[in-house]
Amino acid sequence: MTKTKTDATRQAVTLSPLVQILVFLGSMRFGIALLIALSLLSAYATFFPLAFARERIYGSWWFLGAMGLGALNLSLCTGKSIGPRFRQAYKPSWPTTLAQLRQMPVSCTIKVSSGDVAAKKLTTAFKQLGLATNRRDTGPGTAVFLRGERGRLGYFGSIATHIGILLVLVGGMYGSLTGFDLGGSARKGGSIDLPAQELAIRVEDIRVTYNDPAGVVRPRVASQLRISQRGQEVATGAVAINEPLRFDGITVYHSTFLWVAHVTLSHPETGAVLHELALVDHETVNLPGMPLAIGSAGFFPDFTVQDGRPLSRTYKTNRPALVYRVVQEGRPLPLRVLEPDMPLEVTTPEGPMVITLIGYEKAVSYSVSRNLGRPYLFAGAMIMLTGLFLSFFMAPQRIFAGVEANGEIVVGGRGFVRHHGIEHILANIKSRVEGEES
Amino acid sequence: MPVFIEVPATALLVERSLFILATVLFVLAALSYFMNLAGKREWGPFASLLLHGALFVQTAFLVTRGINVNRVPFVGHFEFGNLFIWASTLLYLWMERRLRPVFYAVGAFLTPVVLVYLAYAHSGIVSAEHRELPIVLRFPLWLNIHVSTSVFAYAGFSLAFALGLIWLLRLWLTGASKFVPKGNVWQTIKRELPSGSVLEENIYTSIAFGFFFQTAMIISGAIWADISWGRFWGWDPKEMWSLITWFVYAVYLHARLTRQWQGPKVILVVVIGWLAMMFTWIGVAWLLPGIHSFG
Ligand code: HEM
Repeated sequence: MTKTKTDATRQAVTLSPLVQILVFLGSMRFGIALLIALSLLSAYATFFPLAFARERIYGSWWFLGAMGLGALNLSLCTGKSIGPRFRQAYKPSWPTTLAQLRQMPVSCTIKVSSGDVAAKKLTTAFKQLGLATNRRDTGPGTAVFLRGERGRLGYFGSIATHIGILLVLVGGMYGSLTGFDLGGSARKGGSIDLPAQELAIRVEDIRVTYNDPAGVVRPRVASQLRISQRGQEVATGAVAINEPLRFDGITVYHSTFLWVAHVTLSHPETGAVLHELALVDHETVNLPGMPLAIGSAGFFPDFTVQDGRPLSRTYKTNRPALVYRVVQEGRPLPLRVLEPDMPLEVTTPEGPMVITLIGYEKAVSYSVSRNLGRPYLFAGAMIMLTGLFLSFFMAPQRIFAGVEANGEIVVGGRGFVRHHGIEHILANIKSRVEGEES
Repeated sequence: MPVFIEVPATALLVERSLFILATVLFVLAALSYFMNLAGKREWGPFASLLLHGALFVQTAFLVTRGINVNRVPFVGHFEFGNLFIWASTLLYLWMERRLRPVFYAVGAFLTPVVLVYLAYAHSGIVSAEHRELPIVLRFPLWLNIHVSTSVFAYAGFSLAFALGLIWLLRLWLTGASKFVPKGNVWQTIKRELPSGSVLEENIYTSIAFGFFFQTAMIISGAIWADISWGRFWGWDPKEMWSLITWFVYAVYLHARLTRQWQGPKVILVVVIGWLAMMFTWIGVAWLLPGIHSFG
């Protein structure tokens, strides 16, 4: 129970280069260096736009490599500490002399009149303090030793935490290797095809429910989906805010909402419709056979202009308008506002035409992802949290007491990571034993 | 498009008065803790009494605010800031109860940290308007776990930072630099500051407390994101900065275990951890827009 290492343990041992590398890879020093490196890299990445950071930093070989090294480091360090932790928890070495107890991190001496009853009193005090107590008699006429402890599971806190982190990493990796994260948009009646997954997602309906009469609050948009795989229907159901549709580990969710404006280009005199276009927000459509395109700068359900910018006052279609621009031979012309029943004239290489907003509808952009790592992530997170709880809130405390035949008692104690609270326990034992004595 | 709630004038008056009263009590508690630090020890228990009063009024303020907005008040920097001011004070007073009178000196450092948070909440730059909960946030169970754990994480790290500041001051006052002040007050302050081992022990306790809740906060946030958006982790700057904060404190926990890192190096990690925490709370919202920019 002394704090200093013996010379034998300090002796230099020559290790093979492979073992030396493994020792380094599993060392705390390397772990700390990795944690610092990951912090710096992550902090740097947050200053870039998300899409760029995801692809070029978090998804880069060097970032993933640093995480992989972290996992290796954790596995090695955890693996090598399992044995020692078990020994520490279940096979602690007993002291053999009172001198050893005096050298423990916290210790005190108690004197009682007779050694015979001292052990009994100590046992009572230990039990009253809720310490799991063991006794060892070293032989007739010699010292009696008692061991009391609390929070034995705390020895395994860091191991559980590390295993939990590893499971989260494994779950994350498994999820990203076996999973996918795709997307697509569609309006009512449309569908999204994911050929690699052999999935077809048909949007049967899109319904908008307002949360307030004025439509100032973002409304609830729900879409009804019918999903088939290899021609077989695999799921049907609704998707709405906070309500993704899940099946076979696949999650379908709304990522954004869009508007689709339907416009026609017609002959100014005869009124014959020459082109019919569906303009999705912020997309540009080329007119067939002409160096001309029409781009949507957004559809506004309750159109107004503020500080020179178009915006929507509410989510309700009180004053629907499409803001569009014509792109002639690659040259964008100024933005114009098109409202229903207020056609405008467009000059095209084929002569003037009339553009009319004939309708509009909501569309949804979906994200479709699969994450098979979910159970591992969840289990890992719970194990990690349990481990931290054990480490921090069930810190082990171990108290030894030795009793000499003449009534001299030495009590010594130690914690695992810290010796906090031990003084308090020793003072308590002392007052209980001395109190009973008087 | 945030939606504002109409609050009746009397309810608003009660809420504002409680907020101002709590602030006044926090300022008075800070001044009294300073008096204690300057050697007038009879001020210690009085300062503590004032801080208990501030905590009580702050609780009443939060309850009133909760009634006025008809939900747990955690939306935006104003409400969240006030919640974790409350948690930081609660945590400090709980530790003070076990460790007084030594801990009264810590009060002189914790209260200014709280006042900085209060100043931010009072400043015009954050909106104190009564807002409806954005619909995306209406998923009570995991959201409430997420917010309450983050409040306690921030409280633990704030207390650790206050203790780190004391350590810095100790280092400075006991150093050999010619800039060390020699006046009587400084000598008294030097004497009144808790010892290195008390600081070390309590920094560890505060960080362990904060770290546990920070972990729970990240996990509950990820579960909530998965339930709501179908994905655990979006690499969003706010998520990343809470992870960075977690990494920094993990460095502290491990560095402390090796026992080679003591004094200035450990304080450096504690200060960086606090800066990372503040950046997660304030910096990300102002500088790095993302889906968490609602606060
Ligand atoms: C990246 C590589 C890491 C290495 C090499 C490492 C290594 C260690 C070692 C050697 C210990 C000493 C305790 C023992 O031997 O049982 C320890 C403790 C601990 N580790 Fe890690 N660790 C790493 C990462 C992490 C991370 C990311 C966390 C975050 C949660 C963590 C949480 C803990 C905790 C909570 C303790 C107990 C600390 C205490 O009780 O104060 N470790 N670690």
